Amino acid sequence: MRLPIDHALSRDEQESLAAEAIDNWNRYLRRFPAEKDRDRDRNLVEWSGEGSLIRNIYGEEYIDCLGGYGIFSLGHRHPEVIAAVKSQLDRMPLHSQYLVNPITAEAARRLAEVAPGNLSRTFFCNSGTEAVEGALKLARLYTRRHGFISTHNAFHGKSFGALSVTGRPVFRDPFQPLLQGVTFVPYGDAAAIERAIGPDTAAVILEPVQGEGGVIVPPDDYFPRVREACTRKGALLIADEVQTGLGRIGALFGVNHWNVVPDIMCLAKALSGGVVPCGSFTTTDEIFASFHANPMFHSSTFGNNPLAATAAAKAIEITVRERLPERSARLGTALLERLRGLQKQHPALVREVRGKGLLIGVEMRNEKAGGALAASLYKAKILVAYALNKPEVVRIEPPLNIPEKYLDRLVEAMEGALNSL
Amino acid sequence: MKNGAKRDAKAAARAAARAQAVPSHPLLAGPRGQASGARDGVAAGRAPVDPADLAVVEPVRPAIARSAKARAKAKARRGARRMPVEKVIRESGRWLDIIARKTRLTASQKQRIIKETVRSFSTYFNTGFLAYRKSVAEAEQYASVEWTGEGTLIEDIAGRQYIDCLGGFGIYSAGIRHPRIVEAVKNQLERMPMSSQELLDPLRGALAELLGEIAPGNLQKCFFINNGTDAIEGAMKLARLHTEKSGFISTIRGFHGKSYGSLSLMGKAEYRIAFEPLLQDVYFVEFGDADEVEWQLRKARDVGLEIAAVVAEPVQGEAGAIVPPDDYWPRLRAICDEYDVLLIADEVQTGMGRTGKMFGVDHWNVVPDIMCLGKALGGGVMPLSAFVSTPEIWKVLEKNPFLHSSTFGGNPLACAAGIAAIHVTLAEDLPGQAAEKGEYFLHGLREIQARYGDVVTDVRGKGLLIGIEFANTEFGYSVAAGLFRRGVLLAGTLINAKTLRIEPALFIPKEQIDEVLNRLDDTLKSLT
Repeated sequence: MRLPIDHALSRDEQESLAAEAIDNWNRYLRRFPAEKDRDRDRNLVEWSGEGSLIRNIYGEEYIDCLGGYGIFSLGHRHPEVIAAVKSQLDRMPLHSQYLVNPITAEAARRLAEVAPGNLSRTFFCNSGTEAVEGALKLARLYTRRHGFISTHNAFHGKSFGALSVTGRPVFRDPFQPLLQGVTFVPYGDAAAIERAIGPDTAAVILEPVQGEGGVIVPPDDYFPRVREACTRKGALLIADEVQTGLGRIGALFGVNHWNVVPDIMCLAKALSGGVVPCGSFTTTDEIFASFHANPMFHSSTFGNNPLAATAAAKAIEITVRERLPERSARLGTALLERLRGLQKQHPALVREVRGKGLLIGVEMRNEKAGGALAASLYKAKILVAYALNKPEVVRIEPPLNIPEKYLDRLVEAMEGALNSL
Repeated sequence: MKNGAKRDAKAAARAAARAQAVPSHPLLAGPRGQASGARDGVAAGRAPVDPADLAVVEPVRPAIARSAKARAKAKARRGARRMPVEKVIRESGRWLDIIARKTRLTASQKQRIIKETVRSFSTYFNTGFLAYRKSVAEAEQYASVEWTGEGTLIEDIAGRQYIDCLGGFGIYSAGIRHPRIVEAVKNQLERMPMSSQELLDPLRGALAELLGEIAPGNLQKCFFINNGTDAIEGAMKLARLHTEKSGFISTIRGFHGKSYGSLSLMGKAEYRIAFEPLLQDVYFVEFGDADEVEWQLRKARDVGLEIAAVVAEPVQGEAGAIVPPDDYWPRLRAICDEYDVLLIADEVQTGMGRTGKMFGVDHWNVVPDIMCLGKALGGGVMPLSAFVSTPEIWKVLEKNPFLHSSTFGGNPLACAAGIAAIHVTLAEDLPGQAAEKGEYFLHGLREIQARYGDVVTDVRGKGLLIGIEFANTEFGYSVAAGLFRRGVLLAGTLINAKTLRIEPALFIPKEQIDEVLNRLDDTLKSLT
């Protein structure tokens, strides 16, 4: 079904909007070394989305296997989220910051009901990096210690606090000096964390699966061992579930795979329902109580706004009701198996296929092969994640409710691409 | 942060690029919104307008003898392109047209929502907030649970109406749920609320063009994110990247946000102490005193400390609407040029017309190197913020575009709101209205101060960013609580109410201002 907007734009309008979009991009936004080209790149101008499909301004459809790096777990414009957000727009999109807003309170309640263990107090913000900032501050406030332990290749965000615990020199070096007291250890090595935790360690921060770092799945005893070490040595465990949370890796929260309850859990991306930016950190009554001394210790103008809370409350409800974590686990296992079949046929091109749920990485033998694979998938009208900083790994993060036929199309297209490489 | 030769070459290139810019184009900042002449000198080419404006165009005393280098920089900074206001309105209107193609509760239900909300807040959120909020502490029978709002009014679920003089701490410059802005967001919901992050999203380009065209001087390149603190984080990173230096100078009582970078610039101990150690290399000076900045920079140069940027608010907001002397910003500009450090204007609260000009720095015709926006930029409907800089400074971001990025930043839903906010701000001349109504409000408050001089110790502000200072926090809280019971929303909590900020919608009708003044008078009468 085509959206009305696709009919409403005349051919001339399509051409002029595309040209204008490219000019504006080049002139006012561009951070990329290369300019976009009006002729070559006009098909790149996106216009609408629905379910697992994105349409460009000419109405051409792309299958979205990139999922906005994890925000489109419910697909594009889930009708229930859109309806809820619209009705909140008619009432009160942002809050007075003075009276008490019932929508935000309801979203916090829903999150507490599904969060691991005794995590029950939530602070809503606008993005993943803010959620991590808040978690780091809370950890220092509660423990009265200042050190953090993070991991090589970890990605937690790009504002100064989150950047200080991000383990990628390419993102860090130009902005030094960052926060002091951060120790980095290899990811997946619980013994290294046990050794690194000292009397000054406020918290250990970990992703259940490293996403941006190239889809790295840790050993099954990793989180339980880290949890035990943190408890024993009085450091907090912060789970950065910004990318893994809300069903992405086949459990409602990544840590649920190992029955681990962190002290603070950070969410964002899919929490938006794919509609309104939203992030959060959730913790226990006891830890959160350290904010009570002065609630203004941490606050945010747009944080806790009811429009985002509406989207979050709906996203949680739909994810649980439609059993999307189970679907993610089932489709992910099947997809991994088929992709590994392709790897066996093309061992000279594909180094490894790995992942958990519908967070899957295909690591090619070299950067060139990664670029070529992403490019030929794009030609087949399938979008996948392909980062300039890790060009050998192609990431697949489709909506969790993606129709299976689209995943068939993905596998077929990959097979065709690998055969022709 | 080494490589002095490279840095010098970069500074020279920056100065050369500025020197090439064409210095003449229509000026945006006239309070009635007209394009008004070339931006040639500090006070040249102003539109003939109301007395409120004259106060701010007093000839500015040059702070320090400007070197040729500084003069060249100042000239270039006036910028090379400028879209007339009419065109910005037309363009944003056209975008809105493009985007556009496209209950009643029972009494028992209301009561239940109130109960559930209070319970959820205390169980799942921060009990502390409730204790500090007048909405609970002073609401008599039942807590005030907000439900809807329109224009300058907020209504709670029980149907009690409040005149909103708090303005969500500056987000509601265009009022609550401005129909044009809500309509734009709804239309975009029908199409694509979030970007694919792979294809090109046209609304981000359109908003960048509009903002790039109305921004002061040669500020042109935009990065969009979700809130003010993120805008500051980005500006700090850009400053370090461009200058290859690490230090910052910030102001005492300055407020720039609560994430680790912006928190490091925070000039208020109570927000910092529990979260130390923060970023190193941040130095604090008194706000409004340009000599201190110069002294700090001279000291830094003499002892070899490296300073990337000076960061300040045009009018300190959180600190209680502190207006600097008129020569402050021009002098900051000259001093930063002299010492070759960047000037970052935190316009998160002052931008988009709040102080009576489109941007706070427009009062003094100063062009900063980086400008941060937030709050009202999203039209009071969506979270949206931005930092804007010059093409020259931006170059360092172009080498590796992933050095700074954001998942939600610049999403089409927020951009639709931003396009509509710019459209409404200019089409309804909100900056002009803020100047006029601010003057009227300040005048009324000063009359009240004259009558209650022993408890009302100061009244100050610019445009509709106004502060009233009381003898102490306890008294300030009683005033806020009294006004709350009389149906006026103002900030001020149990622990922080010595200065109350007034930040209503910029088009607040004079009758409502009179109403607020009457109720304030009534409150003060009952308390003294």
